[in-house]
Amino acid sequence: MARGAAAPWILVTVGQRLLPLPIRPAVAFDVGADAAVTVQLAQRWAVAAQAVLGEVTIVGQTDRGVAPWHHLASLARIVYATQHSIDVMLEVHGDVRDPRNEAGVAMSVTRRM
Amino acid sequence: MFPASMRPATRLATALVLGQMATARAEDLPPELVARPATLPDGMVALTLAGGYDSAHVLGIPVLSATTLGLLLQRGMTSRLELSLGTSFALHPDAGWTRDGSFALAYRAWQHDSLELAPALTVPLSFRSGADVTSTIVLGAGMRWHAAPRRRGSW
Repeated sequence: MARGAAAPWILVTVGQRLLPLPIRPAVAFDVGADAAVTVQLAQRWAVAAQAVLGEVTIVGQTDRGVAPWHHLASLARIVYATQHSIDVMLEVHGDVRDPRNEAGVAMSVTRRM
Repeated sequence: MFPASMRPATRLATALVLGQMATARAEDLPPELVARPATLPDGMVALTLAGGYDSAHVLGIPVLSATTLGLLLQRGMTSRLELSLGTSFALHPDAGWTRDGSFALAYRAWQHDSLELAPALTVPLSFRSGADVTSTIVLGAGMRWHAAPRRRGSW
């Protein structure tokens, strides 16, 4: 992309887990909903938030449905893109409905070659 | 470029692999996360090292308290197709390879104005003995909407 061309500064992503297909104990067909928003704060700084809004079992012996008012798996992350094609990311994630039940932190370094 | 002790065949193989990897330059991607394509450009490789801590409780009883290290390799196979391979290592407790991994494909299928569609297939893999090879396969639509355009270089 040529420098100076129009570029977005907010990116909305949906449907990253649209169709979860459990294999065991029996093959099932679920439909899920999720959404993520990435905001570019500065040229090298971005923040993102993502939430898994729920899951419904359409076909299957076991109901794996998850309602957002029971569990809301979410994450928030901040990313810094260095000048050397390296991205550094810091993330907190968990169930925002009850963080005591499920929570975690992560840090990653990505090098592009 | 190569150590003198390296055998010619190894040198050739290494040069071919590096040559394959070098078809796209890492600097070709913009620093802005939101301006990058949904998949890596053809030939570009990205290696991610991640460390994390997770805890979980059920009815107030701790059932998980684990520190892990993850390794993810992504490669742009064509200008639209990206392949990912990942695995993880437990640091605490029971340090060692978790014998879990993942395989993923993402395809930049369609783009029109500010909308983009990049469906993905993610297959978890288990290399544990006596366990199923995979569990929940996920198909993602990967619908991306570039909202609120801003001109690059205006930061």
